[in-house]
Order: sequence, then structure tokens, then C-alpha cells
Amino acid sequence: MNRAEGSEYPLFQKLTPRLEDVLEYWTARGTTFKKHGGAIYGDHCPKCYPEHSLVRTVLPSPREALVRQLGKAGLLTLDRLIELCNDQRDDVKQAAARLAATKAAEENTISDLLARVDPGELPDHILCEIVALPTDTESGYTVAQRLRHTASASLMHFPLVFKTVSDQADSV
Amino acid sequence: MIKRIPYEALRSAKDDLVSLLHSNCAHVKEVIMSALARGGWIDPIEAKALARGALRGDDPGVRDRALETLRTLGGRQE
Repeated sequence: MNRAEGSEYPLFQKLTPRLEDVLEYWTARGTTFKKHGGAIYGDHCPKCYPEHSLVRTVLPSPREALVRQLGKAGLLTLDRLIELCNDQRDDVKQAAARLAATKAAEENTISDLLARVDPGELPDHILCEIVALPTDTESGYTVAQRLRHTASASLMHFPLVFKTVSDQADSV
Repeated sequence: MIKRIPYEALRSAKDDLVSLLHSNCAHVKEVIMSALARGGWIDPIEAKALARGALRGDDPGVRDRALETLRTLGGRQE
């Protein structure tokens, strides 16, 4: 288990409200990168990799774990989570988007959030997290349809999986 | 505090999700079109009708997603 997720420990529960200060500290501090010196605020060194480089070394930072823990503790508002969806680090963006979608579902405010998608007020990845929210399995979709969806989702990266799962779907 | 996510959350926002198929942003339309195939929040018959309607759209990316959705929802049961 990740230590940052050890919310059952009383000491951790006591310290959780202070994690917002820790998050602010690491946001201002950035990650130290010795090779080129100075602080890096994004997830990679811009001097080592071009802007749209597909392969790059992600520099470590505790910010994603802090955001996750604060979100689970209910200490981040929806607006704050949306703000974090525009963070410089991809892992923070992803965690914030997932938490924002979950929070909107819990508070029954998904429609309010969706109304902000079209005017461009919300980052696209929040929408991806919203449509990935768990749903009732008794929804009228057949097992074959679900298998095909799994196959289709994996088509881009794993063509063999697509063929295998698709064949299974046809035989159901 | 971890709460259980209500399963009906997406279903209650169905109309808002479907209305995003008329978005000005092609990527938004693609996301919703792919979500039709996942189900759980929309009736499969309605999802198929929406995907069929998108096959004649202007955006090739959305058409691709519509085709994938129809392929997912198709099969021997139909």
C-alpha cells in the first residue's frame, strides 16, 4: 500500500488538513534537477526533451499523491480540482480530473460540469473521466457488446488482443 | 473519506451527455461517441441510432468513432 494512501492511521488523519500547505510548498518548490540545475515545475526537463517528445523521463514529485490524498479526504473543492486539471504535471492533471469527476458524481452535479465543457471552460480530460465513471452493469448491454467494447478500446495498442476478444464476443 | 460513487450518476446526466454530440469541438464529440459503446448510461438501441446518425457527419474522427460504436453494439444478438 502506498503510504500516502494510509488514511486509516490516526496520525495521518490528523495531518491530512496540513497536506494542502505541503502541496503549496511543492508547487512553489518544483523538482530539483541536477543535470541542468535549477527547479523544474513540469514533469520533465525542457532542456533534455523537445516540447512534443513522446519519450521522456518523468521527474519525481509528491504532488500527485498529495492531490489524491487531499481529494479522498474531501479537502479539495470542485473548482480547486478543475484548477489542478490545468497543472503543468500530467500525473497531477490526471488525478485531479478523476477526483473532479468522482466528486461531481457524488454531489450529483455532473450536468453542471458538462454545461461547462462546450464553452471550453473545462479541460477535455475531465470529460473522459466523467464518461469513464462506473455504471450499473444491468443496463441492457449484452456480454458480447461489452467484450467488443473492451476489444475496441485495446485495438490501438494490442491488435492481437482485439482479435482474440472479438472472436470471443462473436462466440458468446 | 471515500464515498461510493452512485451508479445512476451518469444516467441522470444522459441528456446533457447526448447534447454534447452537437458540440463545436470534434474531440468532445468523439469522446461522447466512444462512450455510447461503453453503455451503462444509455439504452443500446438509442446509442445505435445516435451512432448511425453520426455516420453522415462532417468530421472523419467522429465518423470513425461512430463506426467503432456500431461495430461494438452490433453482433448476432441484433
